[in-house]
This record gives sequence, C-alpha cells and structure tokens, in this order.
Amino acid sequence: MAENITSSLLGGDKNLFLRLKKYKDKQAFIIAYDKYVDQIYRFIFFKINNQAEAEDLTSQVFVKGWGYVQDGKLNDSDEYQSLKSLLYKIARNAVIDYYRTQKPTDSLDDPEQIWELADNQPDLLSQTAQGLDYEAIIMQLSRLKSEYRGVIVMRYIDQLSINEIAEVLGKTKANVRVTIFRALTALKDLVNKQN
Amino acid sequence: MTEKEIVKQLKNLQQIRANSDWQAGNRQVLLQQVFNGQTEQALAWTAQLNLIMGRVLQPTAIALMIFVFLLGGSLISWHSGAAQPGDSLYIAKRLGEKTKLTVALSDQAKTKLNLQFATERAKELALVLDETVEGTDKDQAVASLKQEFKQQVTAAKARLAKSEPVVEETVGKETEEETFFKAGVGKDNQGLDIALPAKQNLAEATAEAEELINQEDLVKAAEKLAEVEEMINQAEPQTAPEQ
Repeated sequence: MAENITSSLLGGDKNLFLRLKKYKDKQAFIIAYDKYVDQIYRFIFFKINNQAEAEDLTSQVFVKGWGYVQDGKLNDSDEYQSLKSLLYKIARNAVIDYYRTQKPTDSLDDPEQIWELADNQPDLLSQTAQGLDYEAIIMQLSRLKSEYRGVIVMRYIDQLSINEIAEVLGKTKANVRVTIFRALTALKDLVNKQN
Repeated sequence: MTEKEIVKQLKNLQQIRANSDWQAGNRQVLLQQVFNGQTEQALAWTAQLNLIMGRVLQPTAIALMIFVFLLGGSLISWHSGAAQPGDSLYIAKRLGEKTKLTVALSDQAKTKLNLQFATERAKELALVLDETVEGTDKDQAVASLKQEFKQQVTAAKARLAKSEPVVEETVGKETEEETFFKAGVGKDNQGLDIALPAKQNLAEATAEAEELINQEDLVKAAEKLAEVEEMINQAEPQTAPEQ
C-alpha cells in the first residue's frame, strides 16, 4: 500500500529522474528498479544470450545506477536526459565490458538458453503456430550483429523513442533511423531464409 | 514474413521477463544497498507517519522504530553471509558478493574481494564434498563451485599481475608445509587416502588463505589459493579402486 501511494505521488520517468537528480530519492530509485528491471534484463539477455550472466549484469546496472545518483553524476553534465536512457547506457557499457573480459561460453544460438527464457512465459508459446514464429524471431535475433540486436530490442520490444535510442548510443537521430532500418531488414532476411 | 509481421512478433516479446525469484531476491539486495540496512517498508511507514502526524510523534519513538528495522536488515545481511549452497539465503549471499565487487572502488579492494570469494567457494566446496548424498545434483554443485572458484582466483591474479611484479623467488619452491598439505599421492589406497586428507588439508589451506587475506598479503593469499585449487582438483569424488 505504501508503495502504491508513493508510486502515484512520484509519477513517471521525468518525475523519477528529477527526484533522483535533485534529492537522490531512494524510494524513487526502487520504483525505477521495479519499472525498468524487465526491460534492462531483456536488453542485456538478447545481447549476450545467457540468462545467468544477464541477471548478474542487470544487478550491476542498477547498483551502478545508484552509484551515479549518489555521486551526483546526474547533475554534472547534460549527458543524461532521462532515467531510462541512463540505465540503458549503463547496460550497454556493461555488455561491452562483459565481452571484453570474458569469453562467452554459450554459442549465440544456444537453443537451451532461449527455451529456458521462453519456458518462464508459457503464454508466449500457447499456440503452436505463434510459438514457431516466436522461435524463428528469437533464434534469428540472436544471429544479428550486436549493434542491430540492440536497436531492435530497444525500438520494437522495449519501445524506446528514436530520441532515447540516439541518447543511449550517442548518435544522431538520422543515424539511428538508418541503423534500425538496416537491422530490421537483416532480421527479415534471416527469418525468411530460415522459413 | 513481412516487416510488419516481424515487428508485431517483436512487440510480443515484451512478455519476456526476468525470473520472478531472481527479481525478488535482487530487489532485496538492492534495498539493502540503497537503504543501508533499512527496509523499504520501514522507510515508507516512517514517511507516512511524518506526513500524518508531523511533529506530534516523539523523535525518540521514531529512532526506536528505525533501530528495530535496521537491526532486522542487519540480521538478514549477517545471516546471508553464513548461508551455504542450498540454504534459502544463499542467493542473497551471492548477490551481495556481486554487489560488493561492483561497488569496490580500487583494484586492491576488488582483488581482496575476489580472494575472499574464492575462499568462500573453497569452503562451500569442502562442505559439498563432505556430504554423503551422491548424484547429479552434488556433481553439478561441485562443478559449479569449482568453476566459480577458478574464476575468482583468475580475476584476482589478473589484477595482481597488473599492479605488482611476479615474486619470482616463490614460484616453484615447495616448503615442508606445502608438501605436508598436498594430497597423499603415492600411497597404497589412493581412492580413500586422497579424498580424506585432501578435504582436511582443503579446510586448513583455505583457513590459511583467509588469514593471509585478513593480513592484506594478497600475493601470498593468491599463491595459497593456487594450492587450494590443486587440492580441489585432486579431491574430486573418486570411485574405490578395484580389488
């Protein structure tokens, strides 16, 4: 009950970001965790295709995010315009560091990892035809290069705006649009080749 | 499939979420981190009391409430530190370790944590090896703990290599103590003798590594853990030799 009252008082992303920036509001951060943990986890998972590692990295993202808030980095520059883009930036950097420091032990198209993820969501595979489509999409998504996978997940699964994606990637909006177009075309080609 | 159909399928992938048990456990750890031991509920109740009653409630009563919840949070934190594989708080312990490593400021601090976590894994491994239950679960637990132990030791060695030159004079030398602590290779009943002495030596060597870590002698601690690794490799459950 306390959480619902607080959530309604705190409002959306902008309000959360403002409270974190100005007051280092702890409850706002926990609300942000509840709001974004699934998105960040999905983003990381589709990048590295390892559920356990994705969970670890997701934990790190939020711990680092809290560190940024405590250190007052949100006030330092205009680099961070929203809470969502901050978390995605940290997530993206975490994935880059992950690839630098570790050899991925699972292959990119390890069916076990993907089915383990899907098993947690039975509704996703409730109908056979749809299940097969989901499988095709997920399998081929894992075959895209990392940059394409990232923009596909951000744009079409997590529904980030072009602006937000541009902020996360540090690119122009025009550049992001082109990347998204190329990524979607590449995914379509892979899916249709498989079919 | 058209692009439109692909986009529709992609949107449906929003249903994919993190494992709920993990999410809840991780949230708990984050709460500990963010609120420094206070529970979110305590903070929310305190905030509401302040809103409703303003300055009516005595400051000492508020302090007492916060103290009670701080104590609760500290106990959870303390208990999870002693948790072993299979315990309900073990996941909190492991998440807490990862959090500590993430927030550690210096390479020195991270190295020390890596060595501490490696020691923890070695202790846990000794406990698991000691269990009488055999089977796939135990084998998987042993394999997983071994891998994690090696990861921690490797990470610590990498950081030490970056910061300090290799102490050449200690490489290759074998003291009487080290010989004594090695598994009993060469004895007649190798199946049994390797298992029991190795487990005992594992505990002792792990304790020595822990002592070295406490003394901040991280280089020697890493060397001691290398010996522990050797013992772990030799202390695998073995089938009895054929008669």
